Amino acid sequence: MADKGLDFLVNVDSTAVGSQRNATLTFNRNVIDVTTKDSNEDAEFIYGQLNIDLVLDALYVYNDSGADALISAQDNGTSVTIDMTTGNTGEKHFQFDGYVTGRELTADLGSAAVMSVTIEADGSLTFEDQS
Amino acid sequence: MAQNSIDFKLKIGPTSTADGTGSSSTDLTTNDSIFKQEDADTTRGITIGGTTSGVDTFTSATKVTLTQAVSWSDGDTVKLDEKEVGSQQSVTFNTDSDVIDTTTKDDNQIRSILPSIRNATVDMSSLYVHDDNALVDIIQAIQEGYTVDLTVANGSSNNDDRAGEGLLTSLEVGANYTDASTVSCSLQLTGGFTIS
Repeated sequence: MADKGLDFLVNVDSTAVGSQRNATLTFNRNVIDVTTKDSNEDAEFIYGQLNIDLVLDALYVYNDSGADALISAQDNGTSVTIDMTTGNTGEKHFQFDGYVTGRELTADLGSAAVMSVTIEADGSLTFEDQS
Repeated sequence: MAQNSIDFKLKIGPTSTADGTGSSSTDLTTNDSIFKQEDADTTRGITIGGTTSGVDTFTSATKVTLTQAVSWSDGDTVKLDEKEVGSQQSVTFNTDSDVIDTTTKDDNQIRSILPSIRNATVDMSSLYVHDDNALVDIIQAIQEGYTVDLTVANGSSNNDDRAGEGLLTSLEVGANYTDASTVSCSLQLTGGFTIS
């Protein structure tokens, strides 16, 4: 059965970011074209570099410890551990270390203030059962 | 008569190569992490070189115990049986052919071309189901950098399954608070494909 999106929470250094709405975890892996005259006119590729990032959208909550952790991490250039998890034992979760590379605070008339934060992974991600 | 799109489904099977030789052996080691112990699904068969066996135990990400003794050479292809991705919502098989422009002054100002390199990609979107083994294969494949055998299977008996070897080039896991969790991915085929 499909999992609900709201069941996934994004934790920053073990602290959940308050008022989360959406999270999108993206993997992009380059491929290298190795097509030759021996390829029978079918393109051939091998794997190249993998890039992973997470974009988190949330309502902006002043003094939220999870959001503050992201803000200070970017301002200080320090690494954070991101865990995207349902918290349910035996279900897989996504965890990686990374740096906050973008954050946006939007305050539109007639709407709640919202923030969007981008975290880019430094190294690989673990995708294992939640213990 | 038009065919219902629900008949077309993507199936995925991790592939690697044997690390070392085996002589009537049941202990196989691969060069890529295509087995995940916690996802043990021993109903999936495995092919080493051209020989098929069952799986008794997944002992680690690169080691498996077979149900029958098999012989193989170092570097032989290892393929775990393809498995259908659960909760699929959309699959697209794209084929593009480059063309070589061969227009000359003799062509009466009408373009003349020859077909060249053929390139195929597959895009798939599905709901995220945490215990779907084929989805786990996809996520592991882009992480670990191993290729997969893939088939866009036509569930009817029209004999137009499209099959090939693919590399995962992008993957997106979405968790929106008003929706089901979703997965979308793109695969780049390498070395062509067959229709059977």
